[in-house]
Amino acid sequence: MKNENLINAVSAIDDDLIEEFVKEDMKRSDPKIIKRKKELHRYLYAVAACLVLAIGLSILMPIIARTNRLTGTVPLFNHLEDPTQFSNKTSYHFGNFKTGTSPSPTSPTEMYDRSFSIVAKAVEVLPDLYSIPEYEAGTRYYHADAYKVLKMNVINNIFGNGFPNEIYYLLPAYLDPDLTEYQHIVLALTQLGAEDALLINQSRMRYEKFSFTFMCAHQNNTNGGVLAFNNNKLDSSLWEKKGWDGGGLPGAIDFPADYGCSLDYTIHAIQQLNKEFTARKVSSTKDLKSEEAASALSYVQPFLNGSFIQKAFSNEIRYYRTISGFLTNESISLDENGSVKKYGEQFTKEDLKKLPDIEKLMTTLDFEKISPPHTKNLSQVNIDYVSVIGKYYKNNGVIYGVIRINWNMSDKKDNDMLYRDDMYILMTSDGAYRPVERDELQKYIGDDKIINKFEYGKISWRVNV
Amino acid sequence: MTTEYLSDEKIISLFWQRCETAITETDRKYGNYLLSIAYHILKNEADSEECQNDTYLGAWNSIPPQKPDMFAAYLAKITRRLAINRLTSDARQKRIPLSKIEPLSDLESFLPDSSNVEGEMEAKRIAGIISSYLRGIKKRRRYIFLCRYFALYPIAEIAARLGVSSSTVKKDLAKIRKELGEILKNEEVIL
Repeated sequence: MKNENLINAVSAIDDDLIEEFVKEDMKRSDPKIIKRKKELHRYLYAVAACLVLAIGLSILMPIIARTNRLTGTVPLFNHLEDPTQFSNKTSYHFGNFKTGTSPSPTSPTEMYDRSFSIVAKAVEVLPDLYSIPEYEAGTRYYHADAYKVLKMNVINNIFGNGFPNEIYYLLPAYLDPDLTEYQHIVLALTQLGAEDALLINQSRMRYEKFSFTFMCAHQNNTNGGVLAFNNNKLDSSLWEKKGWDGGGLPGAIDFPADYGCSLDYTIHAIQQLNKEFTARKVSSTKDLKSEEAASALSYVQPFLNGSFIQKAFSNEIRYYRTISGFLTNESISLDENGSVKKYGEQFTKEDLKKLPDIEKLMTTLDFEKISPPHTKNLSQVNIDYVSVIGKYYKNNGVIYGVIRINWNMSDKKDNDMLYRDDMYILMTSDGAYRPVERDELQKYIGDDKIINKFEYGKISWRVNV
Repeated sequence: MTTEYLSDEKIISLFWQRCETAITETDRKYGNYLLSIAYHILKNEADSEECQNDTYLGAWNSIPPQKPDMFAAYLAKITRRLAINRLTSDARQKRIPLSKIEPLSDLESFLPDSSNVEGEMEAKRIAGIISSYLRGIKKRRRYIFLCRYFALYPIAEIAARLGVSSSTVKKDLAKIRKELGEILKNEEVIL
């Protein structure tokens, strides 16, 4: 009956709205218009993405050289001796987590022709739910509210050699995560995996750290970025599972799979797509072989000087140093002309040995007992949301850790009246830590965007539709 | 062959004159689109063509006395209703749940179960609320909503029509659902 009501409700939407929609949709259904839009979008994407792949490949090569060391089981470890139990009342986000990202591909074929691809076997779905904290790095990145973690054994590198033997694959929780029934899974990995990923285990309310974590981008499950095979044949039963949607694929032009095709066919097709893309890209990519660019790329390669994740913008690619999953103030950007810009001071290997332990402090502080320090009328507000982030800084040769707590509150009598508050904890390498106000913090770390600009006590209003 | 179409007013006047050219002209102007609406629901060419033809029959039998102001919407709603009825009927015969209408399950949690008569009235009330909401949002978002929940397009197709990525469409839909959910909750529609 519920479905019937729903169908009837949508059917009875006002005629003028449907009229507008039909007229618009008929225009957009014109094959010429769709082709023009796609061509423009592919061009814009190609400009951004070719840079990503050029650099991504040069990053992957060192991974290739080093994976001989990464054999055996990649450990899952929880290094909390005394896990802090978080409150259920408010939502906490801790730490910063990033994967190396590349622009979202616009077409299914683009998921394969310019990404890393592997054949893997899903061996286990971890039982708990995980979440990924928000992070700040310029542009927002959409995350699902919760993830399941799939442990996968890597069987074959289709494009890009030298993946570790085992990876963890994050699937949005709205998907049926159980892919263990398939003998082979082909993945388009448009993102480089994070070397150390700190995730929040929502089920047990504690941190867990993973190595070599990759994410299922939201378009992967709708655009065929994950393909299942059994007995060496494409198994389309994957798209009958909850949340998985082949989007009318396979069968699209240039897509490296078709109903009933063999695994070998798909592997060969992906390799061919990569070759063609590389050939097209070489002719259009600017020369990134300046000495300065080469030096920058060498500096950010994995395992050498620490962990860097990359973010591609429209005309540059930027590498951000992360430490235990936390952002730092050190980053390097390369633009399409090969010019290099450095931000923040470089963390040396010596620096990395004497860091304040943000992670440990975050897990030991009892955030339930910390009140918004600048809010005078606490008894008159509800705390809707608390977020906590951590970041490392190097300034004038000195290393700091900063934890920022943000409170989002609403008035008890009128919950459209919103308040915000924050607190900063400054940590030093000797293990000391103390709360500081914004002005004082700025003296230590400079004018960084971790320091909020909103006025304390100022009311803002919830935007209603 | 001319690609100029008769105006909706002229086609409707042909219906009123009981001139069979009305069907020909309707088919020329809207035939492919109506077929596409049916196909997205039924995923079957033969059934979709039947729905298309039944739409023309439905229009012929109802105009006159009807004189729809919004002819495209009138036809689209008929086709959609016919296709969903056929799908429902097929599902009942095979004892398969209506999970094929997957996009609508997104909105399911917003709506209460209720009996037939009350259900129809409630559905109209909800339709009014949804219509008000749609008028208050930008055209692009309105388009996305109706692509997904009226026309039942898959996400990838909506993305292709807009020239954006699927993740962009999903983000928009998630926001729409959240906003609409809050409105329906305030209107005491959600149980």
